[in-house]
Amino acid sequence: MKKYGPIVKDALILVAFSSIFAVVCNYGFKALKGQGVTTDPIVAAIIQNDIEQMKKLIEAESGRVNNPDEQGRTPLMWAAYANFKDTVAVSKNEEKRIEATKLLVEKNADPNLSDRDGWTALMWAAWSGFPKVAETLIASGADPEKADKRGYTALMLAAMRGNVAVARLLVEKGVRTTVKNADGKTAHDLAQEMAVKYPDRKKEYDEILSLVL
Amino acid sequence: MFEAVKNYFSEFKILKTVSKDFWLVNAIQFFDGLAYFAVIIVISLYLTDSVGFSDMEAGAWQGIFFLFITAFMFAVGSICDTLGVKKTFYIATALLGLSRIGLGIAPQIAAGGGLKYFVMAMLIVMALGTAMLVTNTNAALRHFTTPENRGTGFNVYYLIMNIGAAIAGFGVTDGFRAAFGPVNGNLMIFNFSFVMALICFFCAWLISKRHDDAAAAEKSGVTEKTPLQIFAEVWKESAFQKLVLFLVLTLGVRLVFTHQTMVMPKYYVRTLYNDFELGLVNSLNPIIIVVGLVLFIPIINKFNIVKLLVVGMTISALSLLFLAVPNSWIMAVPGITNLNQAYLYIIVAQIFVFAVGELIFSPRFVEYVASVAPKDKVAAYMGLSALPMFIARPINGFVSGMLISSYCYDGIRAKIDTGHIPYLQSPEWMWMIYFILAAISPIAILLWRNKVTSEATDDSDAGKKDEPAAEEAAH
Repeated sequence: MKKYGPIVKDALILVAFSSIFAVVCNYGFKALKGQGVTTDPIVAAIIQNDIEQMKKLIEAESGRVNNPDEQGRTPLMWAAYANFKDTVAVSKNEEKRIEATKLLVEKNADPNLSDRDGWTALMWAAWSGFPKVAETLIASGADPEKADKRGYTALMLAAMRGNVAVARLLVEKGVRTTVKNADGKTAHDLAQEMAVKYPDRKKEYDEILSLVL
Repeated sequence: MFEAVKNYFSEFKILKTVSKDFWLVNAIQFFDGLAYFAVIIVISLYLTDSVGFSDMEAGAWQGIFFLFITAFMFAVGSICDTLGVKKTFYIATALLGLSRIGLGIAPQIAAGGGLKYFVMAMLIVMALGTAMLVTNTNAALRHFTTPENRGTGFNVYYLIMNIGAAIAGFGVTDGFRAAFGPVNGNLMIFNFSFVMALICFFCAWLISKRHDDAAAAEKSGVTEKTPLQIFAEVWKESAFQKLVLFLVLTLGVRLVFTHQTMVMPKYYVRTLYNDFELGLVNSLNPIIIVVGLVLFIPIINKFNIVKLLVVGMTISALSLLFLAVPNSWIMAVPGITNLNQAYLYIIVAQIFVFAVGELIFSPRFVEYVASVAPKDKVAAYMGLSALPMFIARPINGFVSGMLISSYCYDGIRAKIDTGHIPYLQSPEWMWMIYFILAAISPIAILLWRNKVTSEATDDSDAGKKDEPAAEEAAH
């Protein structure tokens, strides 16, 4: 046992020093950072597609459903967001996100709140390629023509990302196709531009161009 | 070129004389490498997407994880010597297996604060297991080789480690993420790592018991100093103080190594897409290192250490410039038509250029430490050379968390697409900050060259890529 004594003593000193150092750093950086130090548990449950956990959290604190994060994004915006290249992955995710969206709007999440840049949950759904989520949001009172701080509308976002189903839904809902953003571009212009940049998605862009003529 | 490859591998003939236990240790290193590097690639994403940590918390806990690995590495050396190779491998692989399966399963059965605390505890257990395994692997390789074949033995170890790192990227990480999706794929990588720990445990079981007895006999009567005792002895020496100055001056560029695991995975998936093949791009670095080791090391070795250090550091630092220039500049490059291509181009260019710098700089760094140390204290200086990184890693964890949450938050790509992100709020600006920090190192070394090189005593050890080099490269 004698030979382990000094080793254990050294180990304890190092671990204690490391722990104190980590705690001091933690407090220091928390003070520096302020907001955004922790993720809202509801948002964490949405990212994990853990609907049961989300339900529990919302039941416990339904007043938090409109809480914005550092970027001004609410849980509803997080539910309407995903960034996948693979369209199958987008659809799979949407199956979970539609449940989260329904649950949030049932609990009075406001679909017309916007983040720091003026994006609403519907805009996030349009960019992400979630037509069912977009439909639920519109049914819950989301303004489909609302524009962000640079004049982008949900239709423009769907058009530039080649998200045909969302673009079709918005056109069917009577959204104007002639609105221009801060750069003077319409949804048609944006789709045309992207069709040149992403020739591998020509089919989708061609479909959108025929929708937003 | 063929000659260089032939020469590199011809020295491996000497390994005909090593025991099967040497190869078992390398097998442990390979299987654990598959697990360790795959886990390291996805850990920041795991902490945010599966556990619910914010970017800030995830960065902090990655930093703390590395802090504890280094702390434990200081402490466990003597413990490994006392327990012996076999028992230490048993304990290390058991700790790794336990922590990895815990981390893999916990998000599926728990949530909220309880999950976070459990994950924090498991990260510390995993840090202890990692520190024991790395320290013990080095000790075992020393033990299972003779002075004649030791250098080659460590070259094989370094080669196998890099091959493991390459396969962990495109094979393990991308394989699981493609099969199970980005979030569940990350969990499966932890479960896979648990299986690797079991295989390592089995390999340890196959190691001959007689080696432990021999090691114990070798050790009897030898009183080794603890790291803190060594530090108390050398900290007043001017050579050591100059070494510390050198280490601090090179921190900026050496921290670029930690960006590879702390910042890059999130940068990749947030500027491109969540299902991006981040394992494949992480494989590029070890592949370039292996090819470079075989082909270019004999040529590089002909140059002076300090010159190579400055050149290597400058190249490594410059690699960040690819990521730091406004993406509109990259879009102007002929052949690049869209933002995805632009990001892919700069990511691959950065990895390639950084690997070239690393290839020149990393081995020279260890040589430099060995060359400034008094001859009887090389090991002590080598061990203590990890001190500045010990302090800097957790700080970098917090800093990376802050920078990611401000300049590379989840969803930023949507805002880049629509022109909401000016340069000073962009991921490119984050890399400019890192570039400035990294660029300080070569400039400072050039300015303080006389101070940091005056104690260089002997270059006779130069050219050997020995155990601390491999350790440094591993972590």
